Amino acid sequence: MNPGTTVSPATVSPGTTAGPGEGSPADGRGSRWRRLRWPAFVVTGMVLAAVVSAALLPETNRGSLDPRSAEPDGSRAVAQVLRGRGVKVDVVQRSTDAVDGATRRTTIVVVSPSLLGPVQLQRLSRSSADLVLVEPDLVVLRELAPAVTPLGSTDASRVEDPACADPDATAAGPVTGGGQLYARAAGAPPGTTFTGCYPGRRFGTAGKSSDRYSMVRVADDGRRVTVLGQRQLLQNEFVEVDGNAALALRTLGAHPELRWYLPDPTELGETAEVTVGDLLPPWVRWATFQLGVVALLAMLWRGRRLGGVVAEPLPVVVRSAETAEGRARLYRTGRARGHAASILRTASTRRLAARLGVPSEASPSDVAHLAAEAAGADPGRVAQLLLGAPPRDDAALVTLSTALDDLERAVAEPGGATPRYGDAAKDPEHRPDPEGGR
Amino acid sequence: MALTGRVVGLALLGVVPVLLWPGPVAFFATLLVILAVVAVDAALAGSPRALRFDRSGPASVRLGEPAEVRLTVTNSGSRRVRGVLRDGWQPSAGAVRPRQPVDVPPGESRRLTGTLRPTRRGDRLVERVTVRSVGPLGIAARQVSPRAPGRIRVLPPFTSRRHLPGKLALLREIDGRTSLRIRGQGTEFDSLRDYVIGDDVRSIDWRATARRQQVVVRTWRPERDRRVLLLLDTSRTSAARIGDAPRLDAAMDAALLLAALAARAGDRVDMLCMDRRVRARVEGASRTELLPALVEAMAPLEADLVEADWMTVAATIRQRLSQRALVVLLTTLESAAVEEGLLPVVNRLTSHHRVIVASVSDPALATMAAARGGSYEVYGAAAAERAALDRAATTAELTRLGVDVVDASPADLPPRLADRYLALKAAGLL
Repeated sequence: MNPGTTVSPATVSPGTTAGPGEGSPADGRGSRWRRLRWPAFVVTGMVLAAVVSAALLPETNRGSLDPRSAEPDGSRAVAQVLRGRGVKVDVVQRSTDAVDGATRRTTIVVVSPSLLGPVQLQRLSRSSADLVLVEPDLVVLRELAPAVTPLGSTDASRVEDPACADPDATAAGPVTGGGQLYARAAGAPPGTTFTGCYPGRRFGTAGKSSDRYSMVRVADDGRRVTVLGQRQLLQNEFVEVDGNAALALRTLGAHPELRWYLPDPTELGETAEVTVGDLLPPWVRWATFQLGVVALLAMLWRGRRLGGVVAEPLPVVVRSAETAEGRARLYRTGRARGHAASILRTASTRRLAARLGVPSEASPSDVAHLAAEAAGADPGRVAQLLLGAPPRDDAALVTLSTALDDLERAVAEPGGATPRYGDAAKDPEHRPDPEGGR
Repeated sequence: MALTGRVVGLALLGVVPVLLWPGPVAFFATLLVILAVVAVDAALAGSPRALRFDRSGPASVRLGEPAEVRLTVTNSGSRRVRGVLRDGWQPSAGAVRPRQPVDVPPGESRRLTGTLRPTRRGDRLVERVTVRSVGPLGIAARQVSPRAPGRIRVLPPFTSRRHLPGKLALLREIDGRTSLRIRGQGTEFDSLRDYVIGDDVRSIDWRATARRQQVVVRTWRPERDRRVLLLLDTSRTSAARIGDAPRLDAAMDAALLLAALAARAGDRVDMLCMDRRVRARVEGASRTELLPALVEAMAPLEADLVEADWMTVAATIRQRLSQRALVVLLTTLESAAVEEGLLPVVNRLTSHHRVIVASVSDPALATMAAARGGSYEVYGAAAAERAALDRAATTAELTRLGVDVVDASPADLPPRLADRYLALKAAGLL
């Protein structure tokens, strides 16, 4: 093959300027870099800012009732005291971690049970560990403590007496009551014991006991479920109020192992055990498979080429004006005003000399003089135009070039006739020979 | 092996049994049936390997004109081959309809005609033919791509042909001039004839007059049987593109017009295409064979990305030309290339021959030089003027060394070169 040609796949239409030689690869990379520079900087800056802020800022915004949180609504105090008493406190976020290996000597405290999905609730109800539910709702109770049903709420900061026979409650004495209130469910299953403490009261009915309780304890087949309607019992801020600490410690510290379950909402997404496929009739699956076969065959049909790619030897592409364009780029980047002006002046002087029939050895000032005469212009101004100082800025350069054009036109058409130089300049044949003719 | 669109329809039909009896049995049974039908259909298709191919058609075509190429397909197998055929011409060969239906019964042959509209000069090749033979059900096909090489030579377009009649008229004008008007150095003696009133008395041949007893004058005719050597520079400067065509193509156009003119004027035209070595040559072709020989030699030439070696060029020219000749160098006036390459050796040529340097200039530069508007355009104009000044300086230097320089755009170069030749001929300077 000719060394001056290159081979490329035949998709490029030949004979056009679209060839592999057009624009060097380095040039293409450079322009792409210039184009993407600012977006790249912005994206990099944003990523850096995110990483730095994540690394530097402490983890302060833990949730309410988190045993690691020292905030007023956290539960670090209770957890620390329990650890000090030899209770093993684990923080878990997934239901599987909460129930794995849980025995009757384990307590699982669920701080936001309403975040649990049906699968997590089932897991918890199958477990044999004791449960402590903080402010559960009806859905949770149906699954985990069917004997209890929520029944409104009351003012959160009232201190109540236990008013029940539960040993923990009597030992703790008066605590912050109120919050969510619970009552015995109508259709409670037989064999469960229901103990309600800290009855909630409406305003104006002081001293009169009610059938709604702020803490309920149900025992079923040796498994105890404690429902706490008042989350303040566990919070750092209120733990020192009356018997709060005592009740919390006795409730949570009943067994040597405590699992503090902070439900992770992302777990809900993974547990859709009923898939779409189970809901669809069986023929849909097989019809889908068959349509997959159809698609595969269609791909094979369309994907087979009629014969291979034919290589086209493409010629090199070198634009003839490339050198001049490169030089123009150099002038522009270097702001070579003086250089550009002197070139334009020289070219104009030569053309004027040729048109005026001045021999080529005549000096530029002679040409300027004769040109001024021919154009009927001020000789000083023409000399200044052709031989003056280099322009100070780009605007002056543009003005200079226009003035040179005007001068040439005036010399070509004395008397200020139609400007025709611009047209003639496009055709090199009509351009006066710089040598003054041969 | 290939599939057709019908196989998709077949597979879509297969949805029905799968819907009626959902389950793996129906699904896999359907799949097996589809595969079996495809296999049987492909097996029953006529063997495309049994086809033999034979090409015919023109060996060359002028760029820009269509060519009819024929492909004869002979079936030497036992089954009919029906399907589609693709002739794998290079894209620049410009096959108008590369895919054609084909249907060849056993033992017979069919001729397929295709049209090429080449888009580039040079040898355009075809390497393979692809045949897809479809089975009787039209579901599956067998496909092969056997070798069936062919080529067509795309000749230079010679667009400057249209200038030829005008230049020939000028030539006849020179030819018809009387001895009186063009008598001068270098014109040739033609014949003697009787004096008629009005003839230049200086052309009276006194010796013949003394012999004939009548006044006899000599007549003259333009020089004939001069040698013209066209030298095409195929180096890197000729690879540069002006518009959409390389400089070399413009130089070829100019060379062809000059050759046609010179051959008609009775001169002997030779051509050399060189960069560092001789790439192509035409020597001693007769008048009628000259143009075909030139285009045939030029057709496959591409400019090479090497620097021309003018020492070798000068040596080759001196070796080939013993007598005085007109040497036309078709190159470009790129100042760097000329100063380093051509200028040092041009003396050797001008001392023995008359030399014309014909250069293809770029009209884009003139447009650039005339552009005004903002500082961007003015800097561009300055760069273009710089290039023009450089060319002017190179031209001046060459002229000083006794070389004729013709510098013109691709469209103008052929007529201007022809004019320069006619001027030299009229002046008897060849």
